[in-house]
Amino acid sequence: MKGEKNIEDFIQKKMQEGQLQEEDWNVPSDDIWESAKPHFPQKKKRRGFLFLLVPGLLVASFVVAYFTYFNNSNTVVNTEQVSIDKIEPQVNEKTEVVAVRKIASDELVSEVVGSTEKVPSKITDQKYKANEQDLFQQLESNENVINQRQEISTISVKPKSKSNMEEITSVKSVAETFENTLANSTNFFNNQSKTKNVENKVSESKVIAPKIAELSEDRMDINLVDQLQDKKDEPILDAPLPEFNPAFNPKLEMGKPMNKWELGLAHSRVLLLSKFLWTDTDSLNANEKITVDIKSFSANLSITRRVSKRWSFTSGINFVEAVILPTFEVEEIHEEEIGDASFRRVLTDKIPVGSIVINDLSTELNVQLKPGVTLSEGEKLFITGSLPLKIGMVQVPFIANFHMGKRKSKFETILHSGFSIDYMWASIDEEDISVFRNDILITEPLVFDPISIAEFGLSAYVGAGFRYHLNDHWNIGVSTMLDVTSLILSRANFGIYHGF
Amino acid sequence: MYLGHRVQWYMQCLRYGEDKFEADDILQEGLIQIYKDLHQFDERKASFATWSSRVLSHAALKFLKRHRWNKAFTDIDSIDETADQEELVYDKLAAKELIQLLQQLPLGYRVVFNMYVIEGYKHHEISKGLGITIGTSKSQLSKAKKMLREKIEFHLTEYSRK
Repeated sequence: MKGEKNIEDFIQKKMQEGQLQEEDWNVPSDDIWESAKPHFPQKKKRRGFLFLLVPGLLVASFVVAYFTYFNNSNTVVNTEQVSIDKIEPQVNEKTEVVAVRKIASDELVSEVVGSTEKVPSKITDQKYKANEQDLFQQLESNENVINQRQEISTISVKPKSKSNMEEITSVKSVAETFENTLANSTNFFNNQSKTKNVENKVSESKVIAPKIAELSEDRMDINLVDQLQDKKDEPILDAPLPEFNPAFNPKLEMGKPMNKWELGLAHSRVLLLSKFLWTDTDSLNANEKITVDIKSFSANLSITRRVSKRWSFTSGINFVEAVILPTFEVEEIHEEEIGDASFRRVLTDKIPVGSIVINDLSTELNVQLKPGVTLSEGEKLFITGSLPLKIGMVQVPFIANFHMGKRKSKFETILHSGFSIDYMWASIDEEDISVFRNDILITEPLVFDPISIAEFGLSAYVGAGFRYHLNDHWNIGVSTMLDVTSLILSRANFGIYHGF
Repeated sequence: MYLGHRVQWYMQCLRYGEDKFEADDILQEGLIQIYKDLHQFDERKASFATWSSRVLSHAALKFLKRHRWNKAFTDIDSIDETADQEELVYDKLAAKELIQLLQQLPLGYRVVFNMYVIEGYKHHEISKGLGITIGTSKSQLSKAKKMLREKIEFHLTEYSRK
């Protein structure tokens, strides 16, 4: 064997050959797998969406309240002694409930419903069947239970846990139909508060159910099932070996880890507030100069849940405060009769004061000429003024984000879309309008009552942004958002975000 | 998954370890690492075999660094170099024997040889991963090949005598 390349090829070839079949020397001991297995990370349960928590709790509370108060109103007591000559067992597999219908003289006299022991999810149908049969045996063989059954119409069996040696069986009478009882059985038996309410209305007796220790064989089944379940998780034994390519160079990089949660703090700059922008209402006047100055502060605190490589959802709180200051300088030729009314018309027509409408917020000027001043048709007037408008808004956004870009890249592009619930307030606290004729002020100081509004609203969002990842947990970003409906508001956010 | 890849993984560990016991330890740590990093696997970038091999080699290096790394690259030059012997029939050598010979290489030789020849790393990647210079990586590879060749030839000589 000559040359270094040859020995490389030779060894690569031999390594490939060595993998073609399993032999004693190249198969690791089963102990390695067994000892490594406990260290594997457990698959975390998917945490419920944070945003659904509050409505979920509300719905759950409503459901609990409904079943607690409404269902109990139908509860009556039935303690009549009857002679049972026929027992029909029935099973509702979906709700893990078994039931026994008792018939005397071809008439239904009572139903006995018992929940089976809570079946762990990994226990198979065979195990479930075993539980059913076992409960039937309990109902049939236990004399105490039989006696109770003759007196009442419903029995619920709620073992506290598998390990408890003695279990309390609550027996009570409920005048529900057999079908309804079965259909609602899950809620019924799992609802502890309901059981307590029922206790106040019915005579309840407690019997000791058969000890679970008698179900030793049953427990063996559980162990067996566990073992089978473990086997089931293992791969197929005769899976083909993958092709081995030793001379690869895939430039494999792990990429940055994906943080499931992210907290962000951003400062926003309001770029546009179109709803409050002043527009020229009359193009006849060439000498108009209207400027709008916007001073704003906006910040948002966000929490983001990453649900996949591409998608995340954001909520949080936005705060916006802005002062919009339109100023105008207008030259007008007075064309109407002399008088206050005419002058107001001139102002409102020629100066866009009338366009100050924020939903229901509007203002009307009432400019008064100084005493002794009169206006003639054709006179040139110079009108200046400002009308500062203050607005504030708190928003709770719900935004879906689509992430673009390679995972190993430090840059990321994000598209945003969503909506927000807004609470907005706005006010005009002062006005300043003056009219000059030949550089002489001819109007009185403006008398003005401050006006304000406050209201809830909805906004729709669309936007895009960029992120730069400083490290695995911190990133900085810039994004622009267009917010439509309550306001037409465009913002640029500059934020820092921490993933965890 | 484990059964499907265990031979590939174990042979890789055998090449890094000094003996079977060390290979067992490396494989155990490697398995844990593979499962921990499984969510990072991207089938668009590499096959699972490739990806897991990389994770396993990282785990092997981590293991070796933790246990006996200090002298891995210091005693290299003290090893005598011997001249090439005559050409022998290499094909008689089985993979098992070859791995045993690989295990006899000094740690530094063995790691660089594995990474370069079998796993396809480049010298700059090896130097970065092991914290050595590119020159050291190249010289260790060269010496590893030479020593391995000698060991193979010696082994085959012994084999032919028997």
